[in-house]
Amino acid sequence: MAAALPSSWEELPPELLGLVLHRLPSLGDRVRLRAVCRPWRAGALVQRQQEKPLPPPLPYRAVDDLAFLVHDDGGCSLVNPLSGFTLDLPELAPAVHRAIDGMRTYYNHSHIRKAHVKAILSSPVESTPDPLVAVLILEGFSVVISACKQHKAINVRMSPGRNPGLPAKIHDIAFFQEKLYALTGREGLYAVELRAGSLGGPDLSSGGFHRCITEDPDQLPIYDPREHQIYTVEPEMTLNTWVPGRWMKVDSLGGHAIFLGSECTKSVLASQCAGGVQEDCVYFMHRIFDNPAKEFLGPCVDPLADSGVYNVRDGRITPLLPEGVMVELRRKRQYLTWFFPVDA
Amino acid sequence: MEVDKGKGEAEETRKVAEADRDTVTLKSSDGKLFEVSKEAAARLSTVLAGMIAGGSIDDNGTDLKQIGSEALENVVDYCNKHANSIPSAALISSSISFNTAPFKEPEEWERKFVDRLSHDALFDLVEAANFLGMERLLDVTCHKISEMMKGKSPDQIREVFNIKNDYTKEELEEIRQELAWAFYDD
Repeated sequence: MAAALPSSWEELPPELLGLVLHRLPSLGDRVRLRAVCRPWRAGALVQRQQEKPLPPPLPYRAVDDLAFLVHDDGGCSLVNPLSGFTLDLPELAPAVHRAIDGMRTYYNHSHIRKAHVKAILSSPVESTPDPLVAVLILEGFSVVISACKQHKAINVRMSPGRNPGLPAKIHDIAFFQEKLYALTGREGLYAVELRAGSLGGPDLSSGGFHRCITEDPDQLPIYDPREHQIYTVEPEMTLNTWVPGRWMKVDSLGGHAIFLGSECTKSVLASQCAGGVQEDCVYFMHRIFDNPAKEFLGPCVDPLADSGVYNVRDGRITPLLPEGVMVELRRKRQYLTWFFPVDA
Repeated sequence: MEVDKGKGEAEETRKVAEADRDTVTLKSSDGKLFEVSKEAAARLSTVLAGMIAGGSIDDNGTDLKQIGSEALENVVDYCNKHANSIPSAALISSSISFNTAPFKEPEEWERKFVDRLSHDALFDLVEAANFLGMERLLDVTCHKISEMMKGKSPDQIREVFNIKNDYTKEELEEIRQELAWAFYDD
């Protein structure tokens, strides 16, 4: 580094580029840095193979064609990464705070940024006056629901389950006909009715959910990602809504394909999709990514620990991606997630 | 014998005096000399601490051939300022967050220190800090560099750092398509 030579930022050594990358929590910033010039791209790649991997980027979660973004301070927005359209949800973070307060024995406010498990939208933002966003939080112990336009939000949780003091854990949530459905591990399917005024009221801290069976089970297949099994509610049970539902195995998905992930799930009509989506198939993917501390230590990083395509008709499972691609992803520590750009 | 003994004593005295000195002299690649607080140099730079402990400090100016005078002046300035500043809570407590690696936030004076630097000077300083094993100064300079990049498009980053775009049009288009979501603000 002779003083006479002008500095050349292209030549910033990879270890220094790494220190800079460690200070860029946004995935967008990291990607853009790599697109600046070849030496930086190469340097960032070298850095990625170092013993200290980058901390996980700020979470982006796909909600239809919007991403659910959690800011550093816990504030939440819906952002269309392609158009830049942004919808802030100012009441969501306070509702998460209240949920954390309600479970003070287990969580504190340092959990605010990693509270969010899954975010869903009740209907498209463009075509509905005021759609709702529901976010499964605190490992499934609570759900916060916020209106997109009116700034109102509440949190809802299940009545205590097997563990005294802890609400029953929710595995998945789905909107269907003005109700939010929640699937629990052992207690079955629950729903909370969302009327216009209910978001302005107090939090439904306990017992907000009612046990139920959906009226039209064909249209509400709910999946338990942990079991990797597909169930739908037994049709005979629909008449008596307050009797616990039973699970029944199905051998067809009515032409749908289901995309299953640790953090988002979606069912699409295969015939309406471009790109060879097979009907009656479940595309599943489970990233081992849930413990940031372990992520730092390295050993449990596996981008596609458990993935494949399950054909419901014949029960066969085929690999999601060719083995060569999987090996490459593991080597580069790259993660995949489902991204659903626009509804068909 | 008498004379030799006297000379030996004088040498001894000189050595003691050197050990007692509370500054060390550093020499840049272009031969300029800088005095820096020995305590701060040893505390802030693993390389200088090793040299001081190993006795390889030259009273007439320890050669640092890799570092130009402007960068060395900034290093010395930083060390001396550090020697005079009282470590505050901000220095001790690190900002631990889920999304970023734990590192210490720069203090107000450190921010000002790097803010006044030209881009060239900043580049030379970060390399000098790396060479001298100055973890704290690396934190401060890399923080500044990351701040200069946040939210900017690749084009804007190239402009800020005066970097030539060495991608072909086709390659750029490929990157752009592959990662379209990251480039909406271009």
